[in-house]
Amino acid sequence: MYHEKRSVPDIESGGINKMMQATGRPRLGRIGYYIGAAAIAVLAWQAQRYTSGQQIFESQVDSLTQLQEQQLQAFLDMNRLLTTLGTTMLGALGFLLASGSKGKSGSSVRWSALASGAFAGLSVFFGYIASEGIIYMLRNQFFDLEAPVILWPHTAHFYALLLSVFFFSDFAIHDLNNKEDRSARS
Amino acid sequence: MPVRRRYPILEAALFGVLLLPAGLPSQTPQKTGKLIVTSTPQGATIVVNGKKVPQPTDATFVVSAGTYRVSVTDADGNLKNCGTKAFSVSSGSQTRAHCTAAGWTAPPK
Repeated sequence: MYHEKRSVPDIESGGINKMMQATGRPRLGRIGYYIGAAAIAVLAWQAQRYTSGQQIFESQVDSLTQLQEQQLQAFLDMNRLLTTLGTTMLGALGFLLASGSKGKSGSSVRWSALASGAFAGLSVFFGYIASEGIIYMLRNQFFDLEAPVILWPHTAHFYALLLSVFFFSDFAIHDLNNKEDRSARS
Repeated sequence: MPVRRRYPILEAALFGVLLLPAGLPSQTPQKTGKLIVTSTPQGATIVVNGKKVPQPTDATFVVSAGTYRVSVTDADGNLKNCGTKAFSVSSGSQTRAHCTAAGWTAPPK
């Protein structure tokens, strides 16, 4: 009886508005997600457009020297390593989200997880572009690992992964703290 | 209980936008052409667009399509008639620039 009396005036005096706000938040968050994802796609597109539009002036080579082959091997090894780390990051993020998202966590924590996933995805994407640049270089018979078509995607590959690690650590620390808090309370 | 998708069109559009960078043909690096600079005698210094190139003549360059201002000089002064000249390179083709004591001439076959 007490509860019924409390609930009616509550709804009349702005409770409905609060309910609408509460149900509107996920929708806003979802639209925000779409806008963010589209913005990242456009950013990646523009970055790729910039690198592929750079002027090329390189000496033609008929075959690679031993030193150049070693340089290329080191570059490809680094590319593979960064791509593996990026995909591992996505896997770890998915694991933490799947295993630890039952409880409520702060909005900043969820945003850091989204940012980490977005940068890991960007990192893998730029790794793909960098390897495309290598194929382009070899097909056109020149050797310059600092050509814009290779250097910029490779740099973006690394720094996107670095940002992903930063946001991932932020998410992991907060997520683990939340878990510890929940287990301590129970 | 089936999952209800609230924004199927928005999701499809987003998926298309995400695939845009890799899918656009204009995003792939441009096709190149070749600029072949030769001289008689060989071993002369090449300057392209005002910048000295490390390779002496004869040299082949992989370049973007466009116009390049080329000059060739040598230490003895035999090639002083090969002043700056513009050579146009289109993608997928090769342009030859041959320098002799008389100046820029047609390349020997």
